[in-house]
Amino acid sequence: MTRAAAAVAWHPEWPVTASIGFGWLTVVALQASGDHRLHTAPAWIAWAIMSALMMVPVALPAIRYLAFNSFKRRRLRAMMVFVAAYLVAWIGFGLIALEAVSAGLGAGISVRGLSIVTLIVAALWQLAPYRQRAILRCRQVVPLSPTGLRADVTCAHFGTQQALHCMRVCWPAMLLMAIVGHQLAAMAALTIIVVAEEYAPWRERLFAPVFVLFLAVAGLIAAS
Amino acid sequence: MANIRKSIWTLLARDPWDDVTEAYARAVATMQARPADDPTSWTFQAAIHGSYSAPPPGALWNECQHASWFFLPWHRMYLFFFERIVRAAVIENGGDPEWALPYWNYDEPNPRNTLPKPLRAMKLPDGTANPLFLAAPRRDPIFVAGGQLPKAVTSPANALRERNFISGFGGPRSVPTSFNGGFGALEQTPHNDVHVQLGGTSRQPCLGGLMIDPACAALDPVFWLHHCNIDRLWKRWLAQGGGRANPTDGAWLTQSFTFHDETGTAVSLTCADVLDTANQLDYVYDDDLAVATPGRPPMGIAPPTPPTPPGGPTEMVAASNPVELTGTRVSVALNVEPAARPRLGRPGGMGLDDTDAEPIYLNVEDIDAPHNPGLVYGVYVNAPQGATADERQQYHVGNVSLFGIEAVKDPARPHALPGLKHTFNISHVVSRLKAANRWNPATINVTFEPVVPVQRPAPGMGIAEDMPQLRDAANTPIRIGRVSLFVG
Repeated sequence: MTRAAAAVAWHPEWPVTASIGFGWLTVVALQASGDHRLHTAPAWIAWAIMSALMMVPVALPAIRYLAFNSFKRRRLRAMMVFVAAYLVAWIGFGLIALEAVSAGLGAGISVRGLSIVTLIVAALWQLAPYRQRAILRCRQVVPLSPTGLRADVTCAHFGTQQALHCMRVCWPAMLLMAIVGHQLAAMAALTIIVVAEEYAPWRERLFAPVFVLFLAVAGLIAAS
Repeated sequence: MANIRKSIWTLLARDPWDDVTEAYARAVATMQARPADDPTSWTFQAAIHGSYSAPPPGALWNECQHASWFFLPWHRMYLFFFERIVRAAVIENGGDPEWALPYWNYDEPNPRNTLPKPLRAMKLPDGTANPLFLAAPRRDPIFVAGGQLPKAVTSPANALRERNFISGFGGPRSVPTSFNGGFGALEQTPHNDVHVQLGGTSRQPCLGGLMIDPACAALDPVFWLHHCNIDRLWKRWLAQGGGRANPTDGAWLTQSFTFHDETGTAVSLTCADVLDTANQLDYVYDDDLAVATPGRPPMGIAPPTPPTPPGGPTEMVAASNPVELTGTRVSVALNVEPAARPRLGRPGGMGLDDTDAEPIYLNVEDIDAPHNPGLVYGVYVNAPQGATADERQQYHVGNVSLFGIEAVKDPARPHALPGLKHTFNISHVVSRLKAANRWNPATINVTFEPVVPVQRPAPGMGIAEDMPQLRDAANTPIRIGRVSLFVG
């Protein structure tokens, strides 16, 4: 087995990784060419794309586990069902978040004010013991059926559960995205933070710096 | 000269009590008299492994490492400092300054597979209460009465056959954790199974058998003799050679854990600090092949090897729907994916050269139960119908037991897996089936069957009643989410 073939064999989740990578490249290219299609798309579609690009990378270890624990012939289907269920849950969150932001703006609170408050909440959430336990729960898997409709149901259950665990960790960050819209720099920065907290063995060392970072950004916005 | 840990049954060869075991009993009494917040007390030492009580401020309780590649080194350190504390108490009681913990090798014929007699005697030789004795339900009454641990539970043969430490003999790669993954082969059998059988019944919090629950297991004095044997088996595994070696991964070697020494002072060791027991920890076992001399390189560190070409991961080739165990024999047929059958070999198999065959693993996944039913189930692959117990032994690949289920179900400690998971390397049984021309790669039959201890007739009362755990098994079914087969 060549090294390339071995790398693919060890990462059966590669179709999802490749899709997300392609998605990021497309968004960056659109931005660079001044194409604002993402900003003019219906809110829930733009939110779904943003959720996929920001939150699916967090779920890649779970998707890899799912692929290894599925028959080879079913792997792609299992991953697609998982991602679909995962995104449906995040779209549900997005619809509520967008509605809440809209209500806040309707009540006369500015985007700046909402952003500052959300950043302070996000900073405090960084240090909450509940959040730290929730990060550990992101590693929880569910019993998987091997074949038939039950297999699809358990994949969907797994995807939904992963999304719910992830929401407990990331909800202030994604609420912030509902406020500021699809700003590429914010998307990239928050994706790097949540992915690092998911993957890095030294994730606990990130809690305090990210707390400070969120407060600093809130301070900068307040001072601007 | 290094202290020598001896077999308790060898020590007891002549007399019902020997100096080492009696000194242990008196030291246990000394430690039990100390307050629970004293790190050298019996309660504190046991709580380092596990406890349902709230720890004193700053105390490191509930630290035991299970279902992890740290299982063996953590317990070696734990045993080492416990032994130093006991030795100090032995000296305090006027005993031998070279006292060392005895081990119980239960994988020997009757009576050595029974609980050593000093742990069954209610009195010490001078007629005072024996702190090594625990009555039912703190231990299973079968063993208090002299019942024998079955070979299927005591044999380390499947574990010793493993070549790899990681995800083989010693447990899966992990961060420091407890019951958060699959078990290493030695940890499952005999370690987990002996815990479950000696404990017998589980009644939280620590109201049933002590050994069955990690949160109270170390309160039973037999715990330490059992773990001493597990530690000895780690050395026996390495001594076999054939490529068997400890991990060389920095994440394993540099991981440190903190305990207390005989003065109660907190002390830390890394895994790299405990690989050579003679030179680093000053003890050997009475059956070590050679007593190590100072300057000898740490045993078991693998010599540098050329990098191996990258191989592929294992592939799931068969899986079942959920299975329930209720105290009787249950069989599950695994239908192998047609595309994967060539990887398992041709039907029949007579005359096949099996040297290049890929390893085959049986997973028993998502094991759950309302509480630990106190039963050990033997797992057999393609055992013929009507085979005798001895014949079935050839098809025995390991056991399923639920040591640690309390920790998995504890909502305060999030776990990655929804239940316990056992992995068995079944390649040797498949090779045997091929040699006997009885191999069919299309279907594999997996049988679960309770492993029942050999009971000792009570004087004038005949054989004791059947295991209550068997009668209660229908009320506390074990649910297995999936039985699966992996190759590669």
